[in-house]
Amino acid sequence: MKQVLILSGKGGTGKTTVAGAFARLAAPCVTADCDVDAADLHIILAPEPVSRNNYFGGKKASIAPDKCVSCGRCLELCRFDAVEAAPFRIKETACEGCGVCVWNCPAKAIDFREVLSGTWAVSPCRFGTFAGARLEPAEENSGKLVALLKTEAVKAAEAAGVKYLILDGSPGIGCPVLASLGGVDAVVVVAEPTVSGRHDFLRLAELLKAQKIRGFLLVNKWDLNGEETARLEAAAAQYGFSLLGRVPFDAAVVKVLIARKTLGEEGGGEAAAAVELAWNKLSLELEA
Amino acid sequence: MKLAVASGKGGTGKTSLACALAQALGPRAALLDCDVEEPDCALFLKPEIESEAEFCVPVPVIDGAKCKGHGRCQEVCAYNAIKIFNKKPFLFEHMCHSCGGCVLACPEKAITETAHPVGKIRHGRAAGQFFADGTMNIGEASPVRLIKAVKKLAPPGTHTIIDCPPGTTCPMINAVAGSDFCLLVSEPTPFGLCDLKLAVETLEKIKVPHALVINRADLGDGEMEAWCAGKGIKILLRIPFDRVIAEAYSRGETLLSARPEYRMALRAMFEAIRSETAV
Repeated sequence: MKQVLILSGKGGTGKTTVAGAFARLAAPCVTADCDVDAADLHIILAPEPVSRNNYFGGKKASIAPDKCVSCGRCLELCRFDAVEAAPFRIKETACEGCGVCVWNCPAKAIDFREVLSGTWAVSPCRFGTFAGARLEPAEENSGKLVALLKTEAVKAAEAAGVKYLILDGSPGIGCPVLASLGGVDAVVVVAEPTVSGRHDFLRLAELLKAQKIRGFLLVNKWDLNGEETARLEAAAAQYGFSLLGRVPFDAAVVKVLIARKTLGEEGGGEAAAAVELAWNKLSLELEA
Repeated sequence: MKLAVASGKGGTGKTSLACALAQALGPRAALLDCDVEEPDCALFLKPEIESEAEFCVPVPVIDGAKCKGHGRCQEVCAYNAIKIFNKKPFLFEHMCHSCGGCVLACPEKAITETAHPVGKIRHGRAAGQFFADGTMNIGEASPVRLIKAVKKLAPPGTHTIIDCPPGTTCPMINAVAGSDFCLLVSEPTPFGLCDLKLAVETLEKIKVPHALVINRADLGDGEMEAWCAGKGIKILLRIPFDRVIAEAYSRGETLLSARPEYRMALRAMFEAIRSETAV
């Protein structure tokens, strides 16, 4: 089984659209949405509703007002600006769950409880199996949830004996991205030919180089700037990336998403054809 | 006024809008780029950098000679960043959140802290306007401390525009927190709407008033407008898809250099937000 992770660095370049198309082209396969902060892949894959599992991301502190002696030790020690003074209170969205206030409160007035941060499920979809999570808004520790989701997706892929696990990743290069990288065979970077797209691509390429992960580049909306496309491809080649091709700007893509379908599912279009070509190239390289 | 520009979904036009708004307001506004994983504002505003400094967070150092292997550090660490093997502590630095808990907990006082660089902070001026950004080092997990540090650079007496990271979890929350208002930027697609709903829920939770700008407003459907009408969320500006804007953006030019006619609309939008927040 090969794990293919779709990343981008910069947000909104078309990761989820590409991941959806790859899921269809690789079917039957297992697909997982590792962008748990802003999960959208379920919209076009429409997994069957099943009972969901609770995800506890970590603990949060809360002060019992009747036990608090207002000494201010928690305020003094908290490095996350999560304590409000007089009356002393923990700001839940700022609390990182480190427990420093809990361990060091002289009155033992601070409670430390697991909080429900979201839910996750593995369920059938029309291209095989889909693993997805919903993080509650304003919750954290998404890296831990990504790691959990990946473990479940790998189990499902092994149990089903499929050839591919397609992973839709997060933008950026921080904790959810790092958590999605473990064990992947290939990262497909979807990038746009813009000055900022190239800047963000290079940061991601550095990360992949450091982690020794094989990279593939797919340029989206390449015709918005042919010169930048050439620069992006040259930069990718320097990092040892294989080029998967160029996808043109195609207003039909939005229509496909609004119909809640994957690209190419209901007929062609220039963008759909380019993404299919990219998948064929990728799968050939991975099977070689 | 502190005005955050956020989105939920990535790539909807936060940076474009934040930069154009900063340019429209001129020196009475400062711009802080808090999308430290992918800081791109400088590519568009091309500031003259006056200062650049490394930004560090504290991480523990364990003195093996003093450690008696009680394991109190392992017990208090909520992030599994210290593990005891054969009565010897091992530190997994990338897991550490720099809370300082182990330092306080160690009965032998065997743990001190050292500075670990996580990124850099720069500030300078772009067309007479204060500019600052943060850039997280590649391989670091958490941008939160760096985001908070960039926010502290907001000069007094000017309006501050904060370009936020995408998503609705810790990086976004820490960038938005403390703002008087949050301008959300989205696009009217099912993905845009799904993430907008999460962003709105997050802003309701942290109690930051907000309104929406719809970008590429003609490439999508009417569901976002309908949802906003039902929720009572104001739509302050609609920017249609425009190849001239998209191509200018690809070259590193701002919305205002491609379409200067947006200047008045952006100023009017800012004044509307000011009158609503009374800041």
